[in-house]
Amino acid sequence: MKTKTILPVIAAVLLCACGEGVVKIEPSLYEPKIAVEGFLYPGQPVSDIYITRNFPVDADLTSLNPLLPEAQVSLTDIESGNSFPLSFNPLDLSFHYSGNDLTIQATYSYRLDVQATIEGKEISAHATTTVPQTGLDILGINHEILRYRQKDVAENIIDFLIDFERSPGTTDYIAAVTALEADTSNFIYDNPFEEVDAEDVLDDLANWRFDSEWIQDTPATAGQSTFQLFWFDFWFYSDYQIVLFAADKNYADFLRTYDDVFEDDGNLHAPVFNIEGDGIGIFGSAVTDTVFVRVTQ
Amino acid sequence: MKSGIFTCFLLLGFCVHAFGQNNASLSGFVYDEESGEALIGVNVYIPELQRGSSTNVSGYYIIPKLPQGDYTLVCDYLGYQTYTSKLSINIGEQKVHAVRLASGIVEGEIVEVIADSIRVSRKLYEKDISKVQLSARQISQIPQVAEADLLRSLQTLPGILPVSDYSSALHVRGGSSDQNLYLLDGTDVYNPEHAFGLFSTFNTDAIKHVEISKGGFNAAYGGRLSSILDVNNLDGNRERFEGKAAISLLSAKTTLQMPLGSSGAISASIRRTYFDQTIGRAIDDIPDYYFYDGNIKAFWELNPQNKITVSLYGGRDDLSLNFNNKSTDKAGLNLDWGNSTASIRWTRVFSPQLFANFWLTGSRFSSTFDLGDLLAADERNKVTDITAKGNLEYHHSSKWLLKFGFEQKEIRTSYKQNFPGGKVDVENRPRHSVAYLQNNWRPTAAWDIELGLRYSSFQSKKNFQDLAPRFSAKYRLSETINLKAAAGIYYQYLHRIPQTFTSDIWTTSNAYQDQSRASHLIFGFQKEVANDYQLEIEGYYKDYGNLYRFNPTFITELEPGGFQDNGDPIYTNTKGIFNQGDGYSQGVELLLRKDVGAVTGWIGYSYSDTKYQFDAINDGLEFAPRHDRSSTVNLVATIDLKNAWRSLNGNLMQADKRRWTFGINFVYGSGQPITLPGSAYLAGDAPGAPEQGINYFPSQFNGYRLPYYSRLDLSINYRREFKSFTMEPYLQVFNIGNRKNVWFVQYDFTDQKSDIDTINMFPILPTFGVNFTF
Repeated sequence: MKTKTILPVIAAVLLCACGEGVVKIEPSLYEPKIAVEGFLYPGQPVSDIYITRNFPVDADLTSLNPLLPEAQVSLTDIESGNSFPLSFNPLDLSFHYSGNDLTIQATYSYRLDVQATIEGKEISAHATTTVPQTGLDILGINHEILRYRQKDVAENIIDFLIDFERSPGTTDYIAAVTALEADTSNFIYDNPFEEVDAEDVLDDLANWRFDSEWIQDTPATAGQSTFQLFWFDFWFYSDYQIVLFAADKNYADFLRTYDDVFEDDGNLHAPVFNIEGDGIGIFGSAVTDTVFVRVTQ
Repeated sequence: MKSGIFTCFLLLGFCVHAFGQNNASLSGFVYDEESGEALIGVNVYIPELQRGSSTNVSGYYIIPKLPQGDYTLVCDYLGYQTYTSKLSINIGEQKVHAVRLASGIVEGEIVEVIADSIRVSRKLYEKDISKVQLSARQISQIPQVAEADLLRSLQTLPGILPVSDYSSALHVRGGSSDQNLYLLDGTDVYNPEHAFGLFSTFNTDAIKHVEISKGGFNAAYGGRLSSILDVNNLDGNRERFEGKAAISLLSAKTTLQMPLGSSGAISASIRRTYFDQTIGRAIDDIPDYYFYDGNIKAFWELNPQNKITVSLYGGRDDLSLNFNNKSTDKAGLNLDWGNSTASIRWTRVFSPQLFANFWLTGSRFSSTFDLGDLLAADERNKVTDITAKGNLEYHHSSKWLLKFGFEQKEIRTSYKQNFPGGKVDVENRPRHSVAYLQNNWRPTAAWDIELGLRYSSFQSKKNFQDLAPRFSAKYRLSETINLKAAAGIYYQYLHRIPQTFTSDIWTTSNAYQDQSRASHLIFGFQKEVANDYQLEIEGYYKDYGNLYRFNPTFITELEPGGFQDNGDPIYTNTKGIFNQGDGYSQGVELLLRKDVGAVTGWIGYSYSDTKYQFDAINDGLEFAPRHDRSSTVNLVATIDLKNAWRSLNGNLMQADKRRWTFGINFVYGSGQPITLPGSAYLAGDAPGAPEQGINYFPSQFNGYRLPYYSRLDLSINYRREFKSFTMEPYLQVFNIGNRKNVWFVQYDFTDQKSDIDTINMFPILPTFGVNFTF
């Protein structure tokens, strides 16, 4: 009797303790959303507003086109209440405003409205950005040229330090670092960060070329601050374009959270989008200034 | 207010002390005969009166208000031979009777219920509800990762869950891992984990006694919402020099004990891992990592009424990593962390009826982290806790036991971080004052009712004062059945910020975070089955208020408390760090346990349902936390092979000089909740970025259940006794079925498609080692 009871238990235990757990991404997890990526700049035309759809995690983008050229997109000047329809530009695959009667102005608020049909479902999203005040001004940089990981007499690495005048009311600044010449011949292979070979460089050249840093919660008042760029922002012996952005709240929140969504235990959380309705992504605004530097061997 | 309450307690204590002067009683300490170690939790019983007790944390027992007569004193403790002694008590006599229990290597397979033994059901009755005790021997026999570990052993009990193989943190009855109070020789330990949570700071060779209360704990304990883990290390062998040593693939350790003259003893342990000196030297791409820890404990028995115990613990983990060993320049990270604790305990027997322990304790956890040449960034995290406390017991009569005490804590939590573009400097220095009173009433031999009240004052940047009532009742329904119940309110003033790979950061209730609260309601049923099996069934309901959960998007809510001269922000508060919410846990647990015989161990089952509700999470809808498992089955068994064979053949068990022991640890848990991505979308990280990257957007929060978790661990030990030492080599295989249990999933977008990778928990891990006792 005992044997008759124990043997099935042993068999069940052994069966249970072998094998593999399988996670299935079920189609029911998918909910259609409008993905927005667009920025407004004072005094510049409204362009490069990317409106795409989200897609199931296991989707193959060679057969699924995420673009939404048929979407109804408009921009509303909150001050005047005037609304401006945006149209799809097939050349750069983004939406823009083609008229001459809209000038983006600093401190003004603009609302983006999007309506689209995704997999037969009509959805909409809207977001509002308040354009930062002008005033951002790069005052100078400590070195225009530095050797890669150049050190001072005390053996400390010298970084590029950009002094700039803040844009009043703005607390977050982003520096977009782009290598102007980038290929496998001038890649910095002897770096202490990561072992990379030429194939790795070619596989992801666009990403190696570009990097960004941000600083947050600087004083909201007018005044000077300093932006530090680190040696690991530079992956090529090259000239670099540094674009400094004074970001509105939408952009700041998005940048602070969008790529840090996986938690320690593998759980996932949503970034802060500031988009209402069925929308995800970023609709923000910024003021910019540019400087150039060089990194040598 | 505090001093007033304390004065009342003292007055009450002295009043009842005076009132009870002329009663006969039997009291004393219970010791291990060989080592002189005071034993905790020994069942002490007088069958003629059907009255009993158990020894407290100092090994002290008392049976008060005894009528004149001749009695049998019975003492029973796991792993020891039952002690019986005939005693005569005269009118008004306060008899002090020290008991020395002789070790019983194995006990007879057939446990007969006879007049001079204590029934299993009575031992269960003496135990508080939801409390589980484990001996060092039991802990060491459970197969584990690499070597025995206390916290991982506790995870084999129903109602205590890990969140993954990679964590020794405990989730007790649906509570989060910061809701457990860890006490080492009476001292709070804040982050009791080595090696990123793989191992705990408690060296099992140094442990004398462990008990965990899974809920409904009495007024003597507080400050946490879910559980109390009370670990007491070995006092030291006061009879002779004794040692233990062990070597495993991971570490080497030793524990030594010796007498200190005729009135005391000392024990010391040290452990160090040598991963960095072995595998770390052979493989370039893994971090240099090691940890060490050690403790010293000594006591002096000044006279029969006074004993001083000193306990010290220190441990440190050290990790350094170079990102690219092949480069000319080097860059990497350095991380170290560890605990230090110290306590002095004065044990005082004021009279046979009035017993006290007074502690002065200090605890410090600290960690440092820097990125070396990579970046001018570093982090310093520290918690210090200086506590003075006293626990007093007044045994007025056979029906009335009064416990009271106080606790005064000076806590300092400090977190400093320097990073390019700002710094963090958050410090809290709260003062925590506690007084408690607990009245234990036994109106009949079948009833035990305990009423308690715990007052807490927590003075931080905001002040909190709370009264926490506690209640428990035990009823002996029959010779083999006990019924139990407990209820109480619990407050917690400490909140935890989990960190990736590094140790957690503790902060306290303040202007931004209130105290957390929980209420417990527990019912228990205990039955002695076939004389030596313990069956316990408990149902519980816990209600949480003001839970604080780390806010993963806190970075958008930070507000600088000031600015440096260069305009960089200084963050000085915890605003926005946590999401606040409520919740509940409910469940049923079943434990069938056998502590004696050739086959020992337990089978546990727990059903649990935990839901949290946070306004900022899951659109304010209820969700199950990541550690939730609806059903868990545990099977833990240790089989003495020779004696099991003898038992099967109807022969009596024997104490063998050569012994083979087979260990089994099986666990099955239903799937944990997780938030999977519902979709992916395109976005760049700055305007002008050359291409848009793929980002993932979550589906419903914790709306998906992972596949079930299951694991079978086996071990085989061979124990050989020589003339002057014992050797015990062992082989353990963790996850012998090599089941691929899912921890989480991750995604890698290549070739226009997301690859979905399952990240699994530990695969099959064989290990071996050898233990020596001399």
